[in-house]
Amino acid sequence: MSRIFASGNKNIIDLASRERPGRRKVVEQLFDEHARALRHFLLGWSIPPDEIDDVVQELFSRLLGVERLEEKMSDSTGSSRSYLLTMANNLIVDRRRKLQVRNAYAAEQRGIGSESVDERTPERIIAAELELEAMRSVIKNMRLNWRVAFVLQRFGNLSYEEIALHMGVSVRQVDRYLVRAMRRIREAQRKIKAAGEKSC
Amino acid sequence: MLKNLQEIMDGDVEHALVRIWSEDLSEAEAAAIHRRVQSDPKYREEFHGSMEVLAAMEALANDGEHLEIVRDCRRVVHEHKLTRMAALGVAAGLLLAVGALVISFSPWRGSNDSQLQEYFTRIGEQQVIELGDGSVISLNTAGRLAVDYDEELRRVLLERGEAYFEVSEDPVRPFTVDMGVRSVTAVGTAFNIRKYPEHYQVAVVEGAVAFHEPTDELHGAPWGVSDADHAAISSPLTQRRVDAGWVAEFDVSRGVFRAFQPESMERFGSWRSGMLSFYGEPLYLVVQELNRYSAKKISIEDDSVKGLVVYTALSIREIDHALDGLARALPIEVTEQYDRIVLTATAGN
Repeated sequence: MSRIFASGNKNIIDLASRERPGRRKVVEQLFDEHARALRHFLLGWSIPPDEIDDVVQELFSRLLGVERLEEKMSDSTGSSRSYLLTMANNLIVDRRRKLQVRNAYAAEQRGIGSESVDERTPERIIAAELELEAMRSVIKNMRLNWRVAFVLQRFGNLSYEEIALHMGVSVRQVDRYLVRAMRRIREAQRKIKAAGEKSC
Repeated sequence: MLKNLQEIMDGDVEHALVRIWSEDLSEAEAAAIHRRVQSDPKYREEFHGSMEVLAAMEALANDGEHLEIVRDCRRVVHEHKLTRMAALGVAAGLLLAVGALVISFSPWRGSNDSQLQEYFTRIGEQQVIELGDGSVISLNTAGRLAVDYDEELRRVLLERGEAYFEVSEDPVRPFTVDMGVRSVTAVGTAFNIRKYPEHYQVAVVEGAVAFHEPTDELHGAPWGVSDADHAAISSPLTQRRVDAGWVAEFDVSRGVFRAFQPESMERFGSWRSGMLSFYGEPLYLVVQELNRYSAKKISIEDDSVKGLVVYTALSIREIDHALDGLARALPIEVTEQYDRIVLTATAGN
């Protein structure tokens, strides 16, 4: 693992890798290959420096436990770098959600009152399912080139260069397709949010 | 790279959301995203919210349609193109571009897209469409086109008829005219495109345009129309530039390209002023042209006058006046019947 992420307590990793010694090597290789990309990704996410080690260790540990990791990282199923970043993103989002719940609970205990955060109430679960369904529809109704680029990147874990090769366009064009696709998704997000606020 | 950085610093959050997953995200770009996230609460909320949505969307990875795209995106795109071709009733098409631009085929937005504006003209009507960038499209009689225009895209689909394009220069935002499955892309030029039953005709009045296959990229200067191009050239169409003063035609069914240099380009855009000029054309061709603008069909019912040579300018906004003018200049009579206008030789000729 790159030295940038190597400091701190690695107990979690050590524990997790006892059962899968071969897997540890694969994950270390993944981190070594994409240390720079991961560092930039975390910087972009604005992860505080004192949390970076925790994030990296937790990510490492999650990857050790992923079923058929080698298959998911093989060339035929996309870029290992993209897969690593997707896993990192999911992890960061999970951590943020947990932190928000903890903060809300702490505020409630102190009697400050806090905006209800992402507690897994039935209403919230239904709302999340509806939002997912809305996103499926947004993707389905995008212009085909935007949709193809977006799906290949998000669900195929392809790099932008690979997407460009598949689609027969420049990498810059892939960037543009993805920007437009993201714009559509954000527009839908705004509408869903506005509708949610209205119904409250 | 600098452009990417600039877009992150000044642009909407989409740019950061796309760049952060890019394999060539630079440290400067990552730092720029970080700074905006740190310093702008609204931007931070949008950025984090979108990253959360992207994480949630992982649940859609096993959706059937998404799996199909991942498995075989080329086939999906190809089938979509075939569907479009069938819908447009076009067997082949034409691609032409100006300047050293990279062209790529991009299918149209769905019909529910608010940015897709459709225009049509009835027989005898003309319409002028001004775009936000200053480009002007004039749509001639019985025409139909759709405009797909936003801050990154300028695209026109010419479905029927004839249109004259005066394109404002914008090197980063191609201006594309799609004629079925192929396109025309232009920067800072003026040209007229007319769709005939069997071929497209593109008259370049200013600047230059280039024909090429939709998947080709243009590579600057090497292509050109030479004197040899007066002859028809069989497909496959290679990259071929056509300069101002030339007219290029592409035969759809036979896949044949030809270019020629007319004595005057004036007639190719003159319809916009409501006048058509004829320089030695036979009467039957003049009538054929006038019929495009006339709600009532004009027919020549006397073979002896079909070949009469016409040198005149005629109004296409007042067909009656145009026919009167012809009757004054030529030995013909014009008779209006309930269902058509008939031209015959003057009695005694």
